Amino acid sequence: MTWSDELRISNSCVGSRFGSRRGFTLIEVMLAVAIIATAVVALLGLQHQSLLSVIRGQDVTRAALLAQEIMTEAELERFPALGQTRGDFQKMHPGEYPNFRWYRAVEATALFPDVRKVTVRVAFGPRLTKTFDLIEFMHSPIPPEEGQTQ
Amino acid sequence: MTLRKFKYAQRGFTLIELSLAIGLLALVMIMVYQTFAAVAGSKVHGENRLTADQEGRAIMWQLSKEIRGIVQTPLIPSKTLLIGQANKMGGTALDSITFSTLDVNHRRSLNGIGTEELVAYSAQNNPDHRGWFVLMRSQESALLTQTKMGLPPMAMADNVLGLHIRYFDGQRWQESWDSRSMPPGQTLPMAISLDLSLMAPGGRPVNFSTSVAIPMAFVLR
Repeated sequence: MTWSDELRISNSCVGSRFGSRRGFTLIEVMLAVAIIATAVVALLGLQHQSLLSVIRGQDVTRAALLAQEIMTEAELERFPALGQTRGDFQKMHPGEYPNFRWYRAVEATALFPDVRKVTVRVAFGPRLTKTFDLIEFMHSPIPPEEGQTQ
Repeated sequence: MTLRKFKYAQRGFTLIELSLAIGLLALVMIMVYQTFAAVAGSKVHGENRLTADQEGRAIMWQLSKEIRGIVQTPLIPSKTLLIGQANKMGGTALDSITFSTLDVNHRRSLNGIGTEELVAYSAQNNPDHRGWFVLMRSQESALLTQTKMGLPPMAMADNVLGLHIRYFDGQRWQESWDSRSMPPGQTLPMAISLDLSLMAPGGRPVNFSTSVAIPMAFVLR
C-alpha cells in the first residue's frame, strides 16, 4: 500500500463516519447568525426594560411627593371649597416637572356635612397616561350649626 | 507523487484572504464589544439612578416625618424652635434648618410620652467632588441643652446639588424662618416646602419636591 492509498482510505473513513465533508453553506451560516442575533437582541431588550422601569419608579416617587404637596395646599385651606381644580407645578417649581399635572376634586360626603373628601390625582409620564391618587377627608374647623347636627 | 490527485488541494490561504478574514472578524468583535459596553454602561446608569432615588426618598421621608412632629406649646420649658437659614452656593439654594420635634424619639411608643429632640440639617462642601455637597443631620435632646449628649452628626447623602426649604406663614412662602423673633403662638409656619436635588453619579440630577403641613401650627392659631 502506498502512502497516497493510505491517505485515501483514511479520508473515505472519515467521510463515511461524519457524513459528507462539504461543510456549511453560506445560507446555513447566515441563518444561524440571524437566530443568535435575534436571541441577543431579545436579551438586550430586557436590559432596556429594566432601565425603563427604573425611570418609571422614579416618576412614581416624584408623583407621590408632588401629590402630597397639593394635598398640603388643601390642608392649608382648612376646609377647601367644593369643586374641581387643576394645574401644573410651574408656580412652585418654575422650569421643573414639565410632564406632571395635578387634578383636585373636593366632594361632599353623604353622611357628614362638615366632612369633605379631597382627591388629589397627579398625572405623569408620556402623554400623562400614568396617575397617582391620594385621598384625604377634611373636617371643618368651624363647628356645624345647631340645626345641622341631630 | 501526486498532491493534485486529492479532492481538496492543500494550498492554504493567501495573505490577502487571511487579512480580510481577520479584518472582518475584528469588525464584528468591535461591534460586539460596543454593544456589551453600552449594556454595561446602561446597567451602571440605571443602578446609579436607583441609588439616587432611594437616597432622595429616604431623606424626604425622614425630613417630612420630623417636620410633622415639630413642637409648639405655650409652656415655658418647651423648647419651641425652628430656625431656617437660606444659603446660596454657586447660584443654587443650600438651606439649613434646625427644629425641635417629637418625632425622633422612639421611646414614645413604650411610655406614651416622648421628649423633644433638636434636629439640624445642613449642607457642607464635599471634599471629593467639586459642586457636590454633603447633607449632614445631627440630633440632640432638647432637655439636655447644656451637655452635649447628642449623637455625632451623620451624613445623609454626599451627592446633594441643592436643598431649598420654604416656609408658609399663612399668606406667602418665606425663604427663611426664625421662631425666636415671632409672637407667641405663631412661632411656627403652617407648612414647609422641600426641594431636594441629588446627582446620580455620571447621570443627570434627580429632583424631589414636596410640602408638609405642620399640625402644631394650626392648634394655637
